Amino acid sequence: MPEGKAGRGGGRAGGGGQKPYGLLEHTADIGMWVWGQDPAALFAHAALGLREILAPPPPAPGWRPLEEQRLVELRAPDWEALLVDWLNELLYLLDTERLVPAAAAVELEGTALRARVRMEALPPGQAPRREPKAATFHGLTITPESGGLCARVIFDV
Amino acid sequence: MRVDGIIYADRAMLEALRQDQAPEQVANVATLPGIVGHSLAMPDIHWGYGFPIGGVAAMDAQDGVISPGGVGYDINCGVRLLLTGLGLDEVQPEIKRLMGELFHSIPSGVGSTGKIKLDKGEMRRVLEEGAAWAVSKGFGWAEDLERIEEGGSMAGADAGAVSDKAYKRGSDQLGTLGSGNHFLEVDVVAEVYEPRVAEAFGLQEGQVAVLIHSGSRGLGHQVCTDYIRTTEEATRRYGISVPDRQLACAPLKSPEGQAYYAAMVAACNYAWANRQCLTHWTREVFARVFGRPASALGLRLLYDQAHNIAKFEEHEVEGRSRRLCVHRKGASRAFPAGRPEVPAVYRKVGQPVLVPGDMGTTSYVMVGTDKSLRETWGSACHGAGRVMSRGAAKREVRGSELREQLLARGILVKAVSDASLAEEAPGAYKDVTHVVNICHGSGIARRVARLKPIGVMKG
Repeated sequence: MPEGKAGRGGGRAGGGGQKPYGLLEHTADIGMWVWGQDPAALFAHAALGLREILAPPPPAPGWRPLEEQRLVELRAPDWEALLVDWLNELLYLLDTERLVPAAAAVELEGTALRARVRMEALPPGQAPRREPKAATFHGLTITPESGGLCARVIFDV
Repeated sequence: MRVDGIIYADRAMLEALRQDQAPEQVANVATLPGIVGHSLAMPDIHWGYGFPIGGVAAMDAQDGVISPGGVGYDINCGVRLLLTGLGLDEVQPEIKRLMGELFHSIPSGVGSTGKIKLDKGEMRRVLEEGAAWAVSKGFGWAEDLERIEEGGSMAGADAGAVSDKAYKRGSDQLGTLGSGNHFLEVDVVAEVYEPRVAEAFGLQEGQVAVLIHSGSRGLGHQVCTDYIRTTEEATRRYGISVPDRQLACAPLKSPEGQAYYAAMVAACNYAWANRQCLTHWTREVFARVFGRPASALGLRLLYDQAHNIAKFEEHEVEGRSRRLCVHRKGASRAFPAGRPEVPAVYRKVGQPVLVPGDMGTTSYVMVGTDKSLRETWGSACHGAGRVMSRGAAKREVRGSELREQLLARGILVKAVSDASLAEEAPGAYKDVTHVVNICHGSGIARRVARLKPIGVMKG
């Protein structure tokens, strides 16, 4: 992934270390928590958190997934709506092009997002474990936590 | 709250609801402008997105609002029941082959695409014509349309109100079952409670039937996603205050409200076309396995109904007829005898109400009642409702163990993955008999027959 460009906040995700995201259990559906040291990092990590929810099958030994780059540009009235739009755009790419996010370089200008996303193509005949219908506003929070921002999002499955 | 909330439950269920956010959601719905009567919830209530699952709310057609959250992401998720002239003794010896062929012939599971690929022009026809489009293409029989809610083709669709993204998602998903809690199930009629109504429906004990549960797939999900955002802006613009962003709404008379309604109807039609295609392939499989045409096997449609929908209906309010927009979110229409919306063939007894349970136990056929019309805008329950998270369900039982347990009970399961199977384990759901008994006891629908699964196919 190229280095994040200068702008008002730049976040990259795809490196190693403790994961800044995880699953949240919910009665009928599924959720995730995600943390980032700044808003752009939060959004970048959210893409990987979504990948965790989708749980794509691991590649067969010796097989390297085909990769594609996607540029995503979104604008929303607030962070919560932007996060929902971002996650739903990634779900749209999954549903229409069978692509799963692998890493994201996110730039934010207020509540406008510009992201270069490295996507992996699902192998033919294979599917992720889960197929959320959408990210929702239900119980959605973005709050300061541990020196950064933490978001909680529920997906309708 | 502008009106009171009413939850149909018994003491045991009310106790369980104390741990659930759903009652709060019933209260939230009661704040919506133009709501008439009460904010209602059926006994399969559990928390949802804005509206609770099992939620019913009627809005004045002039002054009320429409809310995408009151319909849900899976627009016209619904269920249909096919009847056969076959008995258990004929089907049981062939169940392994039958389920194998159904699993092979009907696309299902996460990411599944169908055998039908549509260009935009043909998609427009699907959105405008629904199940009628499918029949015109040879997917099913003309008589099927008489036994589908709205004739499977709801008026008011505007294909132009559906986004290009929704078109793209739906273009290769027509005729697919989906995943999650969607299923196709071969059942046997285990018990008949009301022989007169059962006879009018064509149901008899020992008869094999097929239950299909599916919806509008990615197209519907995208329509809801798109319009939650546009109606959010409308909520602000029209100065409407909502306690939950998922209750974003727009006045029914506004351009935004009308655009959502027209797109929702288009998605409803897509779902009916979807279930019609699934029916056609089911008939083909039965014909292949049993060596006779589907018509000779008596594979006719009993009924198809939506359980995520908003519809304009005439209802009596304080002695006069009023046009209302009734939102049913995880709730079934349950109209009584005499209503013009009930198919002519059933109008003397009332509308069939299909209530699928979990895969391990039972499902029900009920009938709509006058009391339902008086109390719940002609609505009843739609299923069992989840009580356990997917993670917890998988920790309770492995998919492979569940298969064995169900097989020991005479139920053959075909599923795309053991994980998805475990997530849908019977223990993850309320007892559907409990839910149905509350509806029956309260008089908003009556039990007609009970179905027992012998083969289940899950995505």
